[in-house]
Amino acid sequence: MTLTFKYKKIERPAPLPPTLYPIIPVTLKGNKKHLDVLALLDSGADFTAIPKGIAEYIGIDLSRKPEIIVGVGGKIHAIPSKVNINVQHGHENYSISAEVRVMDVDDKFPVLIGRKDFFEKFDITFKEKEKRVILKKVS
Amino acid sequence: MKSYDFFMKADVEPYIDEWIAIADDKIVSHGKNVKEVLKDAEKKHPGKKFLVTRVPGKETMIL
Repeated sequence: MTLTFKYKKIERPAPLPPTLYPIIPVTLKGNKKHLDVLALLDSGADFTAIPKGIAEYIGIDLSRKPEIIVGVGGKIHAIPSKVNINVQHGHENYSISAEVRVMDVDDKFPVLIGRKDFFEKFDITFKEKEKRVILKKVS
Repeated sequence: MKSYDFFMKADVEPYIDEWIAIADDKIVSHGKNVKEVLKDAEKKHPGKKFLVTRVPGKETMIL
């Protein structure tokens, strides 16, 4: 009933210190294809967000009117849509239909797993000191 | 998942701020544009399954 993932340590050019990211492997399923991606768990994001390039590749509906979304970096346009997110680790395997926002910003952001739908399906614990994140399926 | 295990151990500093496509235990394509990375990876390894991610790095992220 639980999935545990270690944080990924990324070394950076000096003098920048290394950073740690709660990245988890998921499969995004669209109408045309599915794609395995490493996505950043983002408890501050209202929705899951994916770059337009990935949305086009897997074939998700991009016909809805873009809306403005706001982050600390400013405002961008994003298209509301739906995607299926599959998360698997060991013998555990879960599939979640999630609302997404497709970001058209030159692929400058990773896939972000936000709260709507995904965080509602799991109790998610960030263990900063232990450098791991635990997902426990909500029954 | 072999590609995930590889990523977790790999030094990805050379690919900071780029998208990478991993097949098994190697990075088969990388670049700034994710669609081009996927196209290149499929061309090099037709029919292969890829694990794709963007390597964060130079800029601190506050999303």
